[in-house]
Amino acid sequence: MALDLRTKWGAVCALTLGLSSVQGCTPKPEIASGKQAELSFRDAPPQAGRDTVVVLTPLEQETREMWTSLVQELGSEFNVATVPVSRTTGARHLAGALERLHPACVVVVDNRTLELYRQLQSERPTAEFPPAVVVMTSFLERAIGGLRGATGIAYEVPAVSSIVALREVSEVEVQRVGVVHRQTFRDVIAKQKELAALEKVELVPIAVPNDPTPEIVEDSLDRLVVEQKVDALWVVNDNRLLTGELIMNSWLPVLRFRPIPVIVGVSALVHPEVHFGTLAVLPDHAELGVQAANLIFDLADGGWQLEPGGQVELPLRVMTVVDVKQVDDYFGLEPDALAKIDQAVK
Amino acid sequence: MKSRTEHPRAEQPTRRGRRRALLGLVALLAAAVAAPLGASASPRLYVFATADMRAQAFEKQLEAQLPGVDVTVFSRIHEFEAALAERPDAAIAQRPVLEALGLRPELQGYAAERATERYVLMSANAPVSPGDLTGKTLGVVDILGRKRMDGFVSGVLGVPSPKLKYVTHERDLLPLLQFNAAAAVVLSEAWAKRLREKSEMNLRTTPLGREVGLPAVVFTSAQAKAALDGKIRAAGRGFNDALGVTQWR
Repeated sequence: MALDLRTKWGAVCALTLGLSSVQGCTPKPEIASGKQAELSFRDAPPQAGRDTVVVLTPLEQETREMWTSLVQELGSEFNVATVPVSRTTGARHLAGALERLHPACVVVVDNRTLELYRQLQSERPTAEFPPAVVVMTSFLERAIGGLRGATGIAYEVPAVSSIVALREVSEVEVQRVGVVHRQTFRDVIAKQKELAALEKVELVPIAVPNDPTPEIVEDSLDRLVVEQKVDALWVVNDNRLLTGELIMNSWLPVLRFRPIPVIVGVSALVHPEVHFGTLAVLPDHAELGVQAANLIFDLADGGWQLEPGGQVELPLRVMTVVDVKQVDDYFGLEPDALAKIDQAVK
Repeated sequence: MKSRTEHPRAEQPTRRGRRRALLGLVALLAAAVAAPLGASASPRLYVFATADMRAQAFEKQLEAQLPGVDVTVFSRIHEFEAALAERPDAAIAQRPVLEALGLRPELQGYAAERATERYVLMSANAPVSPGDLTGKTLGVVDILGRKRMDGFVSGVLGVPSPKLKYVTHERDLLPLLQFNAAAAVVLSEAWAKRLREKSEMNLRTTPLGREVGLPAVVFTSAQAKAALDGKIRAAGRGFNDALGVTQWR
């Protein structure tokens, strides 16, 4: 795809503007553009004799789908009490809600809520907290450290799931997948490499400094694409590698001359006029709610005690946003791909 | 856009969708004037099943084979169970699902003269037998609701059920194995074949002795049966293939 950066400037701007939602490091969940949907987070009246699950969540379109399926699953057995968290909510407010509701379990939704909950725990170092299930936060396996009585589901889709998704839509042979990452993500990438190996895919990483220049990122991409001849690139949801400057000056120039499939974790990076993301693989929010509910049922079965050594789970269900034309033009579209992808960008 | 669990936001409302919404409204109004159940222009068929495609695409495929029937696909048991209170004209699900909900199937799907299908245990690298699962976690699609699943799995395995890890679709069983979140998963032989096609993992299967009932149909009234029985029996191959059967009787 011959990308003329000048004529495509508008598209690139749109893409980088879309990325503004990633800049806080959290890959903001995907929302359809257009009319703001009416938000409804109404709890059913509590029933006597049931345990209560408190959901600490921003009341936003991004969280509603997860909340809806969570409540549908839990509603037949537990009272669910939703405590809204906004930019002005403080840890004291959460403390008041927990004291009033006496939950058997708490669901903590999104980065800011997690930080408030962490603050609450640190302000009450000897207090007992119910088990917490944390969802929709960035790099949870790191962020959960230091939190007492917490488990949860990571938000980032593992490379292995993304690669399987790529295989489903594209005829391209995927055996070696390149990834450029900052040094701080070395441990994350090592785990991804192990998981990818299960699917007989070699993840080929190149580490760049934590504060990389455009030249270093471009050189690293060149090494992967030209020298290593990887079959695809997997892009980590790291805002520091996805600035407008780096996309313009490092990513696009490399991809302009060597089109290869690029797997991203944010749908804003899949744009029909810019050869960047070939497909975005994202967690399915409704299924995230079901997965969280299953964690809560397991906790209830275990007397609301976290299993020792309990790990953060990985998201099981993904959804795919695919630049169908790019796949069809360059890599070959699988015959039944359109029935399997969740959103086709044309 | 009726499938009840997958991404309505991913597609824009179509003219057909708007027209159907209007038709739905008209049907509701008609019902409010006390029309008998099953008398609406388009009989409603609720389907609780999974396919190797998006629920919306699955729904379209089924609907294309049943002209004049309003098909809605559900992929979560809670939603299907709740939706049955709306009294659709007919419902299709695996026979054990219908029976667990207290419904009596009147039409049974068959595949090669069999009304049941084989299930297998699937694991990574080494085969697993039911006896090996003690103290381990088994992945399974929640087709009956958590409270009923222990008994179902125990029946399929022929041994007491181990700890279960629930998912809502067979394709979610593959990540359980990839992430080492389950020692094995239990699923139909047909789905095991599909997962093998998707994955390069060394997936091993162990056939299980007890088979599981294929999809069957319940009707909510005699009129509904009259309207739908013949259509389902005569449905095209696309309909039957999607539901894993070859004929209905």
